[in-house]
Amino acid sequence: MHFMANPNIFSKIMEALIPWVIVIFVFSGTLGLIFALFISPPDYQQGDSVRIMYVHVPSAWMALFSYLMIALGSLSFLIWRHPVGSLIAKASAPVGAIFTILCLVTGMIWGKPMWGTYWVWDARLTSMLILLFLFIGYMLIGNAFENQNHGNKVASIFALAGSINLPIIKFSVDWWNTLHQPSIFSMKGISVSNEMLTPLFLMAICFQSYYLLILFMNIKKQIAIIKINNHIILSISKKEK
Amino acid sequence: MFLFELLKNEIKISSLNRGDSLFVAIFFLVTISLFPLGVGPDTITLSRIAPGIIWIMALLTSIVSLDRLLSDDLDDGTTEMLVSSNIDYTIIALTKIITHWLTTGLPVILMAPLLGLALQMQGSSIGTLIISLFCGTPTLSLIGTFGSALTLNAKHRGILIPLLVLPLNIPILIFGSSCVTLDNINFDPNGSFLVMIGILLIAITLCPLAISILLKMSIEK
Amino acid sequence: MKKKTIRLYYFLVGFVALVLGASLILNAFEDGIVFFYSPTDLKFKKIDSNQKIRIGGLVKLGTLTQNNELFSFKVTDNEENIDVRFTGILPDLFREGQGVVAEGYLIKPGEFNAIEILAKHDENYMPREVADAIKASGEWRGDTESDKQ
Repeated sequence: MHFMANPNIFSKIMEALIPWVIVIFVFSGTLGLIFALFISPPDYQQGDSVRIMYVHVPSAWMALFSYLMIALGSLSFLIWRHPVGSLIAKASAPVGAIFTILCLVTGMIWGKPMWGTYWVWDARLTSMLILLFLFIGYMLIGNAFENQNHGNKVASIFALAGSINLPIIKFSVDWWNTLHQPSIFSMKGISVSNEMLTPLFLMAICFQSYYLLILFMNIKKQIAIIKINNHIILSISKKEK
Repeated sequence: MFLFELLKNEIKISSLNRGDSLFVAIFFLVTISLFPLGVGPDTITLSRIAPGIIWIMALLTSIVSLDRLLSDDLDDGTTEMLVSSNIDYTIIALTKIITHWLTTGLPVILMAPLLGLALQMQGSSIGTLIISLFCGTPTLSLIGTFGSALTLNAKHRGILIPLLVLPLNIPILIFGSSCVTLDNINFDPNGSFLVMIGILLIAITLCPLAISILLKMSIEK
Repeated sequence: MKKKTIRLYYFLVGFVALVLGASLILNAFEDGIVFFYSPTDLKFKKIDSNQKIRIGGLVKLGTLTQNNELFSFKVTDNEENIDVRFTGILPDLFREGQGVVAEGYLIKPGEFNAIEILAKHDENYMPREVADAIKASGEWRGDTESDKQ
């Protein structure tokens, strides 16, 4: 994987992937929505409210995935000084925060009619809220320094400290009595019927490709900014000569 | 050992110059006395939320002095001098953490019985509260000093530090106050104590290391 | 002591502390903080009747009765039962045999006055026909325990 650490090679791979990601995003999104809204059957308990799950669950997955990418990118940046690691980490934060908000909001909309309340302070909901705070803190601290490289390093250390929250979110429903239902994937198998898995996975693919698209665009922006800055510095130093 | 020499010096400075400890104690006292005034004098309500109030205020108290904890020494060159006289970054980090606990955690623990009584808590729950504070406040100091090290030389430190430190401290708040709440309804609070000690052990291993790395980065920049 | 030896000790002690800390936490999770207590948890406890708590379990089949807006039912964890009374509107997912969390006061052992009822959903998602088919084939896993009673 280390060859990916060269920003130029990474840029080329990225450029080649973008059209495909767009195609997958549009295709899985359209198909996923058709399945989620029309074809898939209502649940035997929840009725039509189950359709919220097709947004809620993929956005929860992607929120965790985004933070995982921040943590892994930060780790590779701190250990091997891979510049692409830092780029990926920084680009994953805003989109991850959006996924977290989407997950919390859809959860609340589902919770009111189903549980009887918008919000409870059980372990799953609380740890998910902490994840949102971690995303926000990560974004703020990265931009709080004059020296951008120093800011990247500091933010990476903060991201690693916060990654302790990931297993807590994942296993909160197993470790404690929560109001939130356990994971649909367990040792017993998948507890969702096949007709409902189709839209769930289509939406998951759609969200994943959306994440990649935003990630790539954000990285392109970051590289462009670095290039412009370098160019300005170069032209100033030439003038001074 | 350098650690004790430094520590002695550090405590001397904080007691002579800044009166940090006194300031913190007064902050804790004043803010807690706002609650009966705001919530109303209903003794049942007060005694029920008292452990939560004291824990939240312990958490906030641990944050108020963080923005100067490491930066004072860094700005006037003390840290650099210590490093150049071959003292390890980890020792400096440990000194700062212990000083922070002595000037914020300890005063809070010493004042908790008094404030517990003022908030209508029962004698036995006050005992549990004190033990929970003993298990939890060192972690608050560890994570707080880590937050202080993260934001060295950063812009808007005053807002950044709480934003970074509070989310990381939420577990301590939850388990700390749950010790007392569990004890109140005759449940065994040992689980919460063990979790807090576990968190403390993990924080005591990782935080000094992370702080020393961050200190090194800020000096060698 | 040399710096290297100090560092070695630091890592050794650190490693032991990390393992000890993690194992303490994982061990204590079982009886640590919970969102609600089960009827068995509450069996031998004396809880102040003005202490607000949450209890949770399954709504025992055939115990739900309604008198105007007053609902009463039993919450069970298949070992112990608690009688729950509640005035108000029940959430959509409230069913006999389904999970429920009730917030309120334990007025005496085994009798609970709920002020708020939350329905706890399980992780099973399926269309009605599938649920009926599985029930018909006798391989229902969702709320087996409560069906047996």
